[in-house]
Amino acid sequence: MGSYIIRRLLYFIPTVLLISVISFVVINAPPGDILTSQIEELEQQYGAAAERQVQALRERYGLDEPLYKRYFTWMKGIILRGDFGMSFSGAYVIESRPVKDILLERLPYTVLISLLTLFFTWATAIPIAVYSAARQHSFFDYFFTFIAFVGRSTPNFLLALVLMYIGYVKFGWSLGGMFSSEFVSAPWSWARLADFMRHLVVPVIVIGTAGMASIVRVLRATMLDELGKDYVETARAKGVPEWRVIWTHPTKVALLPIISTIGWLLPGIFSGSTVTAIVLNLPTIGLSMYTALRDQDMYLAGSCILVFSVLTVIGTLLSDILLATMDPRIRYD
Amino acid sequence: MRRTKSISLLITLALVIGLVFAGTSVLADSVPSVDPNLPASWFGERPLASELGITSFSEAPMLAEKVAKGELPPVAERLPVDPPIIEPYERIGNYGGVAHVWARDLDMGVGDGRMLAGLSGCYLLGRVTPDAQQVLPNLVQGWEYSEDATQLTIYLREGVKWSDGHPFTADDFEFWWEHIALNETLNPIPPDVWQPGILDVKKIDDYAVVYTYDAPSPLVHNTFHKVSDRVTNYPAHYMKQFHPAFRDEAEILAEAVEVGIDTWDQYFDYMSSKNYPERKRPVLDPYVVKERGLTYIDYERNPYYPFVDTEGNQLPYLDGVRINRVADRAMKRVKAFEGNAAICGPHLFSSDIPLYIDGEEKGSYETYIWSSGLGVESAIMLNLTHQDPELREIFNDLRFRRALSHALDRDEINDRCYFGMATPRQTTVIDASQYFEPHYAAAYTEYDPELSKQLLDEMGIIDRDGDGIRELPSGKRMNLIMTYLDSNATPIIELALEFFREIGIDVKLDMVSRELMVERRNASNFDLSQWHVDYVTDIYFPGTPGKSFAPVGGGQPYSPWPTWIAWANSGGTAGEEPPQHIMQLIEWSLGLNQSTDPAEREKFAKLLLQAQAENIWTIGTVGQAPVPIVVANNFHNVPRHGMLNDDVDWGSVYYPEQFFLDPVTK
Repeated sequence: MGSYIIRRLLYFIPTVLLISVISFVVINAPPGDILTSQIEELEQQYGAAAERQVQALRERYGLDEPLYKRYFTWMKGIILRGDFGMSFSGAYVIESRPVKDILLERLPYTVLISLLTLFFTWATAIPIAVYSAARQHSFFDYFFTFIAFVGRSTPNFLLALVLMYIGYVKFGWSLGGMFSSEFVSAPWSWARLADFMRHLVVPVIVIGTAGMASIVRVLRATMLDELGKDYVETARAKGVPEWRVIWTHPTKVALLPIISTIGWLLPGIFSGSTVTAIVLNLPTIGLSMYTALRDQDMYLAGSCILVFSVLTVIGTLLSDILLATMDPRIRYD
Repeated sequence: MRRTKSISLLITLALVIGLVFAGTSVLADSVPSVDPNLPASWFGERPLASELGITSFSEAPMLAEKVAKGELPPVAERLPVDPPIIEPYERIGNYGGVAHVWARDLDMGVGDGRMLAGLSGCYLLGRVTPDAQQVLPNLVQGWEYSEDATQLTIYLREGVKWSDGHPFTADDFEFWWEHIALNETLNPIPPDVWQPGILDVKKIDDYAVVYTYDAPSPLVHNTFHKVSDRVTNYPAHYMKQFHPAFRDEAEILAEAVEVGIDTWDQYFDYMSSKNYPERKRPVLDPYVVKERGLTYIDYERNPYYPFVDTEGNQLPYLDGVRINRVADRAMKRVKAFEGNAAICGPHLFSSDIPLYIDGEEKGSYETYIWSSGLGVESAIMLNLTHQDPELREIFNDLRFRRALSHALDRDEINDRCYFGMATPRQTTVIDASQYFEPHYAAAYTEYDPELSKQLLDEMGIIDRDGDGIRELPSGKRMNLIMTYLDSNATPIIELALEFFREIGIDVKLDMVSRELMVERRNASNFDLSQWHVDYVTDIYFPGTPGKSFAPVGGGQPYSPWPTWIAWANSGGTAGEEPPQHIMQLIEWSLGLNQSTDPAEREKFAKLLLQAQAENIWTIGTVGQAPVPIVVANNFHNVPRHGMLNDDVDWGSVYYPEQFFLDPVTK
């Protein structure tokens, strides 16, 4: 096991490097750069000399250098100084700020929202799935299956819009964001916490429902497989109460496919849901990646993709280790 | 075309629903662009306190507190000796309150930030009058041209200070010129290629500076409200510490590396940004950045702002402004509807006017209807320098352009897209322009599809195969494609294409990205395009007639004559030489910019506008459309009528310093 982990860690380095190269190339593939997306502003500032001024700015910020050179400068900064480069997406083209600052200031809320969502997903999905499997073909099985399919097939943003609408019209909740205006910069208090929680209801439900549906379906299917097996019958024959039969043995086995995907959740936790974040105006990292890609703010976009890739690789590793500890049948050589 | 139909159906539906909601209040005649109740002093030079007999000055309580603690000098010492006056729109305001606005990061300089807080610093040296006819001295006392208009002397107001209390003097101009404009690292473009080319900036004394230009530039003060004059972005006393001419470069670089920058010029840019509190860059604006949160940027009043109201109260009235950052403009529209903004104007849709009116009560706000101030919301342009000789000949034939123009039922476009509140117009300057003549706007605008058909028949553009679509005189199919960027004007275009189809001209739509559009423009590789007609007030039209009336200047993503523009801009080394009647336009536009005699300038302006009215280089649809401005019930002194576009700095000409929050109402 130990040597397995070390070997996996060694694979880690070339994988991440390869991902960083590919993501950097892909980000730079479309024509234009951050200056093109701000050209209107520049034209207003510089008039007919705009194009030359843009060229000058390109030179100053190294945007005209060949791709490989920009890549190496960027990687050098990351490795030597933990510096992810500058983000240019501000009100003006010269308004640069370190990518690191942007990612760090967004990290706490992103992770918080993601973890709450994850908790919501599992806290609802696992009991529902177990119940559906144990009472197959019952009314509630069909009911939850229906809900799960609806959750799975409705685009997140649509659900978000519908819930926002209901929230505003029925409850008078303010739309989107994390705080009402009066609490945005207030110090933490119970009132602020309540306001924050109220704003989180919609995003947690929206993002959570989508994830919930797939977990319910997978878990229910595996449970149904397990419930018919001999060891379950044996346990029942021995007179173990039904709830204990279900919760101790088959549930544990049925959770394995879910555990194998835990690792994939890791990048999701750090990015937050992008589309929902746009609709609900949540300051997640996923959202800044979206705007960075749109505005061709290449260092910010590249850094986001790089970080998420690293997290995916780490997450996969974690899943494998977890699975090995949970499932004694798995062996690594 | 099914899509087009269904979209126009949607528009009609929205209109009907809108009218049900809004009752009759929406249906009005075209919207005025100038509020008749504006103070007369907004149209003239700033009066001074002494002229109104004001001798003592008051300040906001938050500043008085600081003065009491000894953190700030008293108000009289912070203000100029004889401070300039800004007359309030309705009434003297009260101090206090933070106004909330919403903006996307990229829009801060062009949208709400500029509207309310002047965050781009645009109206500093000069300010546009509310009718957009003149630029008048603002922070500076005045200016004076030499006889031949190659020299301009700017006189500064004594006692105007940066937000840290340091005086704003000729030294700031000198520093900007010698160490920024002329510095090859910071500014690789030599100043003589700027428009107009500056040859020299000289300090005469602490409060007077002389600009010398390479050609007569009698209108250069019209750019004084723009950012291009960046003196106001570089406080010499502060920025010198980041410039190697004043400090050891190694020392600067050592500081730069700490924030992850490895050249001094990048670091100089970085430190010159005024939107980060930790960079501490002093400003001349009414507000200074105070704090950056994850979802907002807070600005608080500049204690040294030199203007006072008619009772001697130092402006601004507001304690501060909070710009809430949104990822998407749609969220801002939602926030305005919810009543979460003190004021919200830029980037709201005209089609949402009924929606905003409907939400007024719940959101405690009022919807003001301003004018877009655009000559035309969407002007259709044919590529007059088309690569295909047959199409080029047709597009350059006035009969074809007239046929298209007469095919448009502009009243219907107006009714369907703007509730009948816009003005059907040909491409020309706005009504409020001193050069405007009604017949410029009326040229070839009557709806007469029969005439259109007749003109096309005359040209030999006839439907030969009976499919309802006309073929080229050579018998080839006429495959026309409109390359365009998605915008508010898209519904107009979709309607216009339906009208074209009715006279047998089939145009397909091709929505592209801005980059692709620029690429196709540069290669002159498109049939039709469209863009709104801005820069048609008296501030910009003389300076940049190229936007719509002559193939000069440029930069915009569209152009009806790309290769001619390239020729004019390159001095004849690139592009194609335009025909004689187009060369004439270029000469007139030069004359308009360089003539020192106002009567002669008017002659050139009218020649250009007359040529447009006769030739319709671009085909206008409707202009001066209604735009909604959402103003909170407790937010006061916002004019009922106005314009909202770049010509008037997104509303900052309406003196946002005198807007105030009333704690009683709401």
